[in-house]
Amino acid sequence: MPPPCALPRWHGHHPVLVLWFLLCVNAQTNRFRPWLNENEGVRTKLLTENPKMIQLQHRRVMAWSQRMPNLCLPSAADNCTTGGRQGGRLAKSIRISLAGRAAGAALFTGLSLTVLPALAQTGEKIAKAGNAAGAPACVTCHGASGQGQPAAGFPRLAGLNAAYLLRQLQSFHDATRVNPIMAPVAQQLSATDRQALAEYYGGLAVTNHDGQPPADAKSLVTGEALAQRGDWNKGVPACAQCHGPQGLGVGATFPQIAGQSPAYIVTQLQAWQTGTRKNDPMGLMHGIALKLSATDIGAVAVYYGSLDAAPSTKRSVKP
Amino acid sequence: MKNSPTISAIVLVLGLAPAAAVLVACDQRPTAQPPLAQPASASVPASPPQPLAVAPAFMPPPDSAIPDNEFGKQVKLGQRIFNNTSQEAPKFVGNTLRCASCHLDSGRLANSAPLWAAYVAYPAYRSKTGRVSTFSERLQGCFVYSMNGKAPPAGDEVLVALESYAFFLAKGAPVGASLPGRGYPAPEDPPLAMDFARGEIVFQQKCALCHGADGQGQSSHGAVVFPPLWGPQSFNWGAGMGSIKNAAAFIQGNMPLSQGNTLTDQEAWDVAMFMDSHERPQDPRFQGSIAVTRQKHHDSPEDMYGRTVNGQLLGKGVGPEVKPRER
Repeated sequence: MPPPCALPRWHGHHPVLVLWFLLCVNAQTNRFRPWLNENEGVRTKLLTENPKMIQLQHRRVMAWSQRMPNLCLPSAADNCTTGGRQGGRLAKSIRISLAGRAAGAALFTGLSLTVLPALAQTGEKIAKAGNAAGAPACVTCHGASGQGQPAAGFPRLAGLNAAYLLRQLQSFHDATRVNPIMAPVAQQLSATDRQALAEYYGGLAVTNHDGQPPADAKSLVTGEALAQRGDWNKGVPACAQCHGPQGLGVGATFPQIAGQSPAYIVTQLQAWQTGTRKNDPMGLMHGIALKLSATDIGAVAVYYGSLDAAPSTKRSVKP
Repeated sequence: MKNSPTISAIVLVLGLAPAAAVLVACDQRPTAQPPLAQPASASVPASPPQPLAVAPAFMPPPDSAIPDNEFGKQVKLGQRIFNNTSQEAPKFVGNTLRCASCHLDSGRLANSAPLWAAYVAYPAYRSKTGRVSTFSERLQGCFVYSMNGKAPPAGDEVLVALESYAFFLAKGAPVGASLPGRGYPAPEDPPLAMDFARGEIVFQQKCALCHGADGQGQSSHGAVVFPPLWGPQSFNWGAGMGSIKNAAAFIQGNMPLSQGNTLTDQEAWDVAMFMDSHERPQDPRFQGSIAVTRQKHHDSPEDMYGRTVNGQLLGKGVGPEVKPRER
C-alpha cells in the first residue's frame, strides 16, 4: 500500500508508525508519572547538587540559544530586547529549523527524564533561556538557581510553593498584581509556560544567598517583635501566625518570607498598601499593610531578610 | 490518551521528532494530581476591618518589665508554656493547641479572655465544678478540657509558671474586679435560628483558607500554625469552646485573624454551630452514656453534645491516635 501522501519520512519510517511509537512512549511516561512525581526531591537534588549536570545543561542551552535571535540570557542581556517578536518570519524560520537541534538536545536530556518531570523540565528551559514568544530568561533577574538578587529587590523564587508561584504569574497576567517588569513577561508566557515555571521553581532547593544587605540592630529588634508578636494595639497579628514561626510559609497561600530580599518585602507591603497588588485572599495583606508604618515595614523586612531561608531540618508539612 | 495527538503529529510533520521532545512539548499535568490550589476568594479586597474601638480599662505591663530574678524566670517560663504548650508541657497536653490559640497576643488581648482579667477574678464559684475554684484549679481545667490532656498536680512547676505569668500581667489590676475586656464579649442573639448549612458556607468562605477545608489546621515544617478546630487534635467535648455562645463570641471578636468584628451576629453563630457540630475527643466526665453526659454536663441549647446533626449522633468522641508524650 502506498503512503497516503507525500509526508516526509523520518529516518525512513512511515509517519503513522512513528506517531504510534511516540504515543506509546508517551503513555509509558504517564504510567510512571506518579513515581516521577514522588521522586521530585531526587531529581531536584540531582539537578541542583550535581555541578556537572548544571554545567552540561547550561552549556547546551547556551549553545542552542546563541542561534535563537530573540532569546535573552544573562550573558547577552544587554544585547537583546524583551519584546523579542521583531525577529518576524526570519526568526520563525530559524526557530523551526533549529527546533530539530533543540529536539536533539531534548533527546539527550531524555536520559534525565527518568528523574525529571517533563513539566518542570520545560520550566527549566524557559527559566534559563526564555521562550519563543519573547519572554526573557527568568535567571536574568532571579539568579541562576532562583535565589534572587536581594539588593536589587528581585525576589527568591527557589523553593516557594508551586501553586503560590503559579498564582503570582496569573496575577501578573491579569493585572491583579501590577508590576512593570513582570507584566510584559507574563503576557509572553502561555498558561502551560506559567505552570511549567511554577513547577520548576517550586521544585528547586532553597539555598541561603550571601548577597543579603547587612541588618541594623534596631530594625531587627522592632522587626522581630512585629514578626513574632504583632502589634495588637493596632490590630496587627504576628506575621508568624500565618507565615509560620520561622517564616517558612504555610501551604499555597502563605508564602515563605524567611530569607527573602528585604527590598522586595518593602515593595510588596507598599504594594498591598496602595492596592497595586491585590491578589491576597480575603484582602488579608491589604488590611495588615494599611496598619503598618513605614518604620514597621522597613523593620519587618530587615528581620525576615536576616532569617535562614533553608533551615537544616525540614520536617513533614502536614499536621 | 492524555496527551494531544495533534501536537505529536505537528512535531512529526516537521520531521524532527525525537520522543523526548514530544514528551516535553505536550506534557499535560496528569489528572490524578490535585489541582493547584486557588485562594478562597480572589476578589477585590474588602476595606480593612478596624479593631473594636473599646479602650481597655487595664493595660498589662510590657515584657521588658519582667524582673531579672527567680520570679522573672518563672514568668518567662509561664509565657513560653502559654505560647508553646505542647512543647513546654508535653506531659499534660493531648492535642496540638496552645493556650495562645484562643487567648490571643500571649494572653494580653482584651476581649480574648486575657490572663490579667482572669487572674483577679479567682477564687470564684464555678457551676462547672460546683465549688469554689482557685486560679490554679482553673488552669488545671484548661489542661483537662481545652488541651485534652491531664491536670498538672497542684504545685507543679507548669502551674506555678503559668500563675506567675498571669500574676505578672495583672500587676496593678484591682483584685476581685470584673475588668472590661474579660472573657469573650457576649454576642447578640442571632436573628435566625443557628443553621449548620449556613455555617458551612461561612466556614468555607472565611475560615477554610487557614484552618483547611477539613478544619484540621495547617502546619509549617512540623509546627502547627493554624490550629485544628475539631477532630482528634482539637479541644475535647468538655472545653469552653464547645459552648456555641463562647465560640461565636471569640470568632466574632477575633476571626478571621486581623479582621475581627467583621462577621455579622448571624454569621458568627452559624459558623460557631458548624464548628461545634463536629466530632472531637470525648468529654473526660463521660461515664458510658452520651445521653446521661449530656443531661449532666451539656444541657443547653448552645451545646451540640449528644445531639444529632445530619444523621450523626455527636458525642461519640474521637481520640488522638498518638497519646501525649511522657516526659
